[in-house]
Amino acid sequence: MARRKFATLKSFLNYIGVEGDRTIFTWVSASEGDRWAQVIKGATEKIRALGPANKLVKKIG
Amino acid sequence: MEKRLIKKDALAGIAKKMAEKLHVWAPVKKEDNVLFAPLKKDDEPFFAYLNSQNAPKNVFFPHTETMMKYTRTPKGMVFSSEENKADEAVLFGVRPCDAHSFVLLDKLFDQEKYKDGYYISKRQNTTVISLACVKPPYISCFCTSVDGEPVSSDGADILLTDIGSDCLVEFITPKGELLAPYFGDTKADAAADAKKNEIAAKAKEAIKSKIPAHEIKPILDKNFDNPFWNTIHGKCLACGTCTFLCPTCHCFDISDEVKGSDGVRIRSWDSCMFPLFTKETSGHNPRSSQKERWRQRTMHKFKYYVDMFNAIACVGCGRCVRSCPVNIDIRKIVEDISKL
Amino acid sequence: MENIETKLREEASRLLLEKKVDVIIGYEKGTLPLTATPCFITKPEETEKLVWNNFCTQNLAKYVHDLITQHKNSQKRVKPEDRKKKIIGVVARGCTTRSLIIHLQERQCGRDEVYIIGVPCDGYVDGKGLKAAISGADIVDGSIDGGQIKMKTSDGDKTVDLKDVLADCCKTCRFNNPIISDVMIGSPAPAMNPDAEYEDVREFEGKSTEERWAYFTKEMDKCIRCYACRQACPSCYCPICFVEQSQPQWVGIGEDPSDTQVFQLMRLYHMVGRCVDCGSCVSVCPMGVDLRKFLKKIDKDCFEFFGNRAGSSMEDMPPLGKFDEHHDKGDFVYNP
Repeated sequence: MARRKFATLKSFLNYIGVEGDRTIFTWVSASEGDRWAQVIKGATEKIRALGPANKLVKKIG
Repeated sequence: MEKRLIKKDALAGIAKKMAEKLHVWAPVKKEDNVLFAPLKKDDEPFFAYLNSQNAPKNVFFPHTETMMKYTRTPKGMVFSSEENKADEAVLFGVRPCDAHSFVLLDKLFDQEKYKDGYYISKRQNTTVISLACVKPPYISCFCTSVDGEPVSSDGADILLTDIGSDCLVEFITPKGELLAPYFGDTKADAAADAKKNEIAAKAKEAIKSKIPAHEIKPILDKNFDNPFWNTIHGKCLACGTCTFLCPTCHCFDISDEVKGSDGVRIRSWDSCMFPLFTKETSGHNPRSSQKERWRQRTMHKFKYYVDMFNAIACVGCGRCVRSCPVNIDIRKIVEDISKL
Repeated sequence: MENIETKLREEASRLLLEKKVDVIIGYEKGTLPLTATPCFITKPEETEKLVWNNFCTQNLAKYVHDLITQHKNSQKRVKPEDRKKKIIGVVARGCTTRSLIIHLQERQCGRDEVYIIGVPCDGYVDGKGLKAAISGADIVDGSIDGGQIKMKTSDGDKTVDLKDVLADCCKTCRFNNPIISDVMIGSPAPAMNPDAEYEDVREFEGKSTEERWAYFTKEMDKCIRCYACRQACPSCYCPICFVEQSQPQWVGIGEDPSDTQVFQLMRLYHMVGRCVDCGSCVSVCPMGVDLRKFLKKIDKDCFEFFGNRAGSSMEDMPPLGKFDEHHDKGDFVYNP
């Protein structure tokens, strides 16, 4: 089940040292425009607070 | 060439002194492993080792190596080669079997038909200092069966031999002699030389594990389709441990990695044990199972290399014997082939 | 153990004679001292080779899967009515049976294709740990005697306590006796110390994010991408692993740290509800990467979130194949 995968993935990424706030899951219905905006706003704030992601990112050149 | 004597415990100091000016690779203890690694400022080289877990081939033939870089620009592609970019380096304290492996790799990477610039530039800029095996490190060592010796200067520029009270330093090549200033000024006398020869003979005698490596070439010539090849691979996990730890395995894979307009072409170690090895673009693989892959590994070491370069591509370090997760023992394979 | 070995050989020989199995996967003595290695026995007279001791390391369920897959492939071009059945006998300890249960749950084979010869297990010796315990010396000869390993080494005679050099997974094993079997050899082994199984994980969880990341990257830096961990794992049976996807490529094949991290991360994460903590991946790793630190977390989450211990019961479903509306936690869901 997808939600079980999400739960374990979030926990595991946090465990190896990828900040917990970088992995965000939620459910938004196509009819919930307002909630969608809230989610994106909240997510953006969280990510901005953490700064650029460098972990697991490949650099070439 | 010249010979000198140094104190036994001076080795680490010499290596560290060299590291101030040169790029020094030395055995370093990392947790439970001894690995050949670039000696960094606070690293302590570990010369009381049996042999390193990894083979020092990565000094000349790294696991992953950039061959060239390219960038897409409005005016077209711009390329830059990474060939011939090797710093002056010292490989300090390799075992004679591993030094022997460089001689074998030279035959391939530095031959008349093909000269591998990446390998050659590193090889030429690196001085190899061998540390003789006064006492054979492992019961799984079998260097004497494959043209090696525990006390041998093959492939080395300088040979260090522990002769009890002191350490005998022999400068083998002019390249090695350039490093002479690091090794004090006590000249070795004839007695030291005699002692070394005595130790060398004893060490050679002490290698008990022997394989008929030379006898199997004519047998391999005729037995490509022998049912014997069905008997080796059953338990093989198809991992790359044997090939990646092997000092002479040198197969590689070339791939491009691109991000945006920048790209690099890298070559990285490949292993004949992997399913992608020799897989063709069509999806077909002529070596479809572990059986063919094992035949390839054995043939490459004991037949093809002999055909091409008149040398067995095995130095008897025993790493594959000790580290194979399922104990597939190349010594037993050779032994079994000799009885075919 | 001697007694178990004798009974094991008798049983194996009987099974082959009565044609109850086509092949038996077990362990034989290795070519180096204090080692055992997997072997395949097809003739009753060869059963004398079988051993059962504290050096039997590999999880043999991997080979069961390999043989069944090979057999299925060989039967593909045979008319259905002419297809032959192949029955594979396997010497199985607790963790091996757990892996077999996972294979059965994931419909990899039929229960009637495997004949499980259950053996009690009091743990296997961690080869790298043993080597470290004798300061990296080479073992020339050795034997186990009264809970002690006595060795002749390149550095003189040495003795270590068996319980000190058992693999970490064995020290805290919860299932050291077979969960399912067709025949059981010997009497059940005494319990190990399962209460301590998550101690390492709890300690690691208590560290800061950066400390955890530093440890993860340090361990992954050791990896040489030989894939021994994946190859030894009974749960890693994808016909083509994602790292071998070359058209297009999923993960770079080189030594770039991020590629290695991504390979390991994805393999580890693929073990949710499927890692039986047999320790095979750890024991085969030539570089000593601490994979268990991460796998055990997955195991712990799986138990704490879903109440599942991988392969511990034939009645269970794979935990990622179901959902429990009343008990599954929802605190991972982001609600602004």
